[in-house]
Amino acid sequence: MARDPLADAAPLVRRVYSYVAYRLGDGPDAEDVTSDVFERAVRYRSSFDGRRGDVLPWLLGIARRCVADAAAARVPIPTDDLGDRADPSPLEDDALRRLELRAAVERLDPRARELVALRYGADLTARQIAELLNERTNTIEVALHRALRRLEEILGEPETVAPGHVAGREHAQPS
Amino acid sequence: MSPFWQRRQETDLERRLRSERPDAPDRLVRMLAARSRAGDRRLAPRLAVVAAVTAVMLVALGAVGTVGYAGTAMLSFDSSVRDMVRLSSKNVSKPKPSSASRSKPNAGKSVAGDPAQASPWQHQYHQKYPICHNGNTLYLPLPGYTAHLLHGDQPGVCP
Repeated sequence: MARDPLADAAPLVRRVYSYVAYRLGDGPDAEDVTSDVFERAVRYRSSFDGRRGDVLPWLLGIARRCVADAAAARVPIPTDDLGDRADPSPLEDDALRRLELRAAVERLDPRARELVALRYGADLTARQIAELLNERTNTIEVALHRALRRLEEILGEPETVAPGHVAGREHAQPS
Repeated sequence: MSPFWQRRQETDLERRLRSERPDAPDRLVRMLAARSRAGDRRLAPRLAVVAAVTAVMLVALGAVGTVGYAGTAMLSFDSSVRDMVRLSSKNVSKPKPSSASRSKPNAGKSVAGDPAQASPWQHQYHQKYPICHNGNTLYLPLPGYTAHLLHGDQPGVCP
């Protein structure tokens, strides 16, 4: 009998949620979409074929469609004057840094944001991303490198990148 | 695992993207993990119910089918006995099986000499019996054989 792809679902939920939150922003929308992903995964679990790939890329394939559906149905909320109404209470530095990073990721173009979400949210390797998006690994590595450069510019902080390194070349890091 | 010459240190930004990535609330993780397990468990009772219903239906229909078959055989047997009793009461001699009647071919149908000796199976599958009608030997199924007997024909092959 085939192995159950959702036998150990907790780490998969965390990975999928991180991906979705990088794409849509942290919060209820990301939770709803993650729930939707796992609902579909449970429904179609019998169609999963372990010989064709890992569970996570399969889930992220579902997640990409769910994110696209959610993004299409989403009504944009104007954020121009939110600064005046922000809670004046002091936030922890850590929380501020997280908010700053997420705001920077949100300013990336959709393609770069997708790659960052897959690479650093879901912890996929560049090769896995290439298989998922049906592209060449080298193309993904270069695109990820550009996305990081752009993110650095947005954050306005100098980022030291080792010469000759290409983002996403190594395998997934443990979360 | 990448070869050592391809390994590199992550940049600060990459480390930051990993360490500060949005994390799923614990309640969401627990809920979805439980739902995934529940979805898996739901399959087993469904299969068990299907198997149980199938087994019950097989046993029930098998038993009814067997009884029905046996009932049909008993009715056939009863009908044959009644015919024989009626024939005996009219002093019609019983047909005697002969080697000639058994061995005579009849269009692929099996032939027996004495209906009284025939089993319900033979009646059901139209066993034919020899009877002498106007000097010609006919091989007839039980209803026709009985009707000819009642009209005075002699059982068995013609002399």
